[in-house]
Amino acid sequence: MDLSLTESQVMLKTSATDFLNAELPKERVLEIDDSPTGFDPELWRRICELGWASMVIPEEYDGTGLSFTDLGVIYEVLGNYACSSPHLDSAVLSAQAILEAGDDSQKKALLPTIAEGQQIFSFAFTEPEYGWGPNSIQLPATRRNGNYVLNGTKLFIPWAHVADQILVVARTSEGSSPDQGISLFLVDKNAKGLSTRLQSGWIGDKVCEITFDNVEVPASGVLGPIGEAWPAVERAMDRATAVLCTYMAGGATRVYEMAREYSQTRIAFGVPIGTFQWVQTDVIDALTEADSATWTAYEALWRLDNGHADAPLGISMAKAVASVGFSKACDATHNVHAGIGVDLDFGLTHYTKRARTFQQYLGDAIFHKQRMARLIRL
Amino acid sequence: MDFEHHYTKEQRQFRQEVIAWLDANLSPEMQHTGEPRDLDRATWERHMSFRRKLGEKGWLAPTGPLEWGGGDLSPDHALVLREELGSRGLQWSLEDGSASLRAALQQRGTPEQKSEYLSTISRGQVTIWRLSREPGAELDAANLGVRAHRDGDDHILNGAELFAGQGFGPDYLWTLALTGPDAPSHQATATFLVPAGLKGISIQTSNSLLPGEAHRVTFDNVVVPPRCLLGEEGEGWLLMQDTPADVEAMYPPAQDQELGDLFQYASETARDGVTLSEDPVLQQLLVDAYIASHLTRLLRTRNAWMAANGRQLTYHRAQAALLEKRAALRLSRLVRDVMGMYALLDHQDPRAPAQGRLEVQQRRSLARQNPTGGPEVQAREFAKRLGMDLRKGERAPPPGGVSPAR
Repeated sequence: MDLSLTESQVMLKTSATDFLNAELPKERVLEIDDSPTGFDPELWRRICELGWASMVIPEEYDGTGLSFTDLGVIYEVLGNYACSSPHLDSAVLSAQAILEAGDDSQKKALLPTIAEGQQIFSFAFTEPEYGWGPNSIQLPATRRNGNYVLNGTKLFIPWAHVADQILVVARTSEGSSPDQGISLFLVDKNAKGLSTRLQSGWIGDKVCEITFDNVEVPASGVLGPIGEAWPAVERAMDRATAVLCTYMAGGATRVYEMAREYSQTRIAFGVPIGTFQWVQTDVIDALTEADSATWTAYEALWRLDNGHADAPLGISMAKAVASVGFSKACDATHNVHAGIGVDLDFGLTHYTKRARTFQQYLGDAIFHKQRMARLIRL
Repeated sequence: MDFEHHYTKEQRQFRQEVIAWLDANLSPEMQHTGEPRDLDRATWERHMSFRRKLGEKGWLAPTGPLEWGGGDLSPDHALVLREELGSRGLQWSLEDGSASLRAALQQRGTPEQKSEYLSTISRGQVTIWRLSREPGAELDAANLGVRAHRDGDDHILNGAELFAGQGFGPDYLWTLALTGPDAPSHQATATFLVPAGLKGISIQTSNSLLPGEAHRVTFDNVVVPPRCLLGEEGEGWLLMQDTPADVEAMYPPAQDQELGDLFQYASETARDGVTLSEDPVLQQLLVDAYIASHLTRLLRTRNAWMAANGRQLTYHRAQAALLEKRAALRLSRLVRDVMGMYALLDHQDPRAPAQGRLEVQQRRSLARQNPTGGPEVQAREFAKRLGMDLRKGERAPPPGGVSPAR
């Protein structure tokens, strides 16, 4: 057994930390969050220059073919710095969906553009009846004159407003079970009949409502066999989920660090507040949630990289733990900081907002525990 | 025992009077306008005008004495007012934080101060922002940001502190200042009602999770005349901490709007053909939230009944406050469990359920959890009232209180 990072992973972590230290101070996080798009094109360009967008794309498609654990190391740092970018949706989720479902010509045409950061992809899954299982896919795609026509709405789709292409999960038929009849379509962002609206709220990465009004997709825009896309979609979502968990673990770790630091520097009644038992409990809770999220995430990535049959179980467990734990770590840290913690300029709320958003993204704890129950055959 | 409010015939008539008056004086567009911090200036001014009308009737300080602008009504009458305003989304009209100030003025104000301030405050003619402090918190003098020293008959204020208040600017700042760092903490404070326009005062509203509620006020050699000092030097902390009897005796409203919004959403929203409220997992969580809300209200009701009937409260306030804070945070988690991403949509999004009120709950559950200290402030007060901070050899007083067994 060896639970340490490899030498190259240590270097990845160090270089990522140095980069974000320089590029993303907390004031910049707030600036980006408050901007109309929540997107910093220059930061994105530099992330792609570092090769991060190519990491889990095979070399034959201009990627670097590294492991998901390698990417997880980067994501832990991204979470530590509350970095917002389209990376997860474009370079992980969409790229993996194309790898799993696309034919060779589609992979050759699309994956290099993702790897090199030339195009941003968004992944349109969730709908007004919000959920992450196959039964939540209701958007119909009907065949007409050799094309497929999409009509309906997708909601809470990250980065659709800055995407070049959108992968749309839609239903082409009803089957004997919900996972039958699901198909995957590639839609140009500027397709006729497609419109996006930025949704408003206390939300981490910006999300959009996408309206499809007779959007036509040619046959060349179909990825994989019609009506049989669910396994590929699920595998892509699993990989993105595992990586997302390390981001959430990184965020939880950072808020624990903030809690510990504040408990040692904030003086009340002549002593550091960290000497108060209640504060100690909150700091301990924050660390326990962070560590729980970290270790379940890395274990899930290890299972994934090594092709373990029970990788989906590990991934769901990691997401269930992180979904609850990241939020709880933030809540505990807010208790320690009291009023200063809700000052937006202080920086803690960057993490709180992301915790509450990513709690839901790719499935919340309830969803993943139900999945675990099926996988464990309870 | 009887857990039900029984309104007398006179109080039922009072409710009809209130309803008729509100129907005549409150237009539909003024109702359910959301949080006061989200109002634009014009809407805010209309609301302030409405508050002044409430004040003219004595309804802003319903249980206060008539001579000082109050309504001289009973706590049950006050509850009727809160319920009727609450049903129109305007409970906040009654909650401007000035009850403690009115009590302090009645208790320790000079005749001139009572004459100058009490009526105008009770009638909503002025806006008061007060120093932000957690109820029940001990005084940590070293962390008090405002200092006052005498200069002849005047005091000079220097320093900065966080103030709580709504609107676009105060008329007065109710502040606490440290007057003598060498004396024991609680004897080293004085409280002042400072006109906000005095030279040397600057105000910056914090960029907060609940915008418009927290403000950093800086005092730079502010000359404060004697009429602004409430009580004597050394009484400041006690005057600001005291919870007036009419606030203690305020029964909580029967409705929990946030829980109601969540239940409505759960019963009207389906996934896979099943309403959320029928999902067995969510159902358990929803019932837990129902219990927590009911318990919070029940303990607040207990406290109000005790105060209204001359029973001594000891640990009871801290207990209810702690329970309420924990329930709010648990509710915010449940809201996200039930509603998913919809929980995070604010009132500007056309798809936001309940006009975005539950998104506000997400932020408010954090911001009100920890205004100046975390929930441990209430927990420590709770433990202290149970005598758990006593040293070896000291005897704890009985915790007191009311239980159905006694």
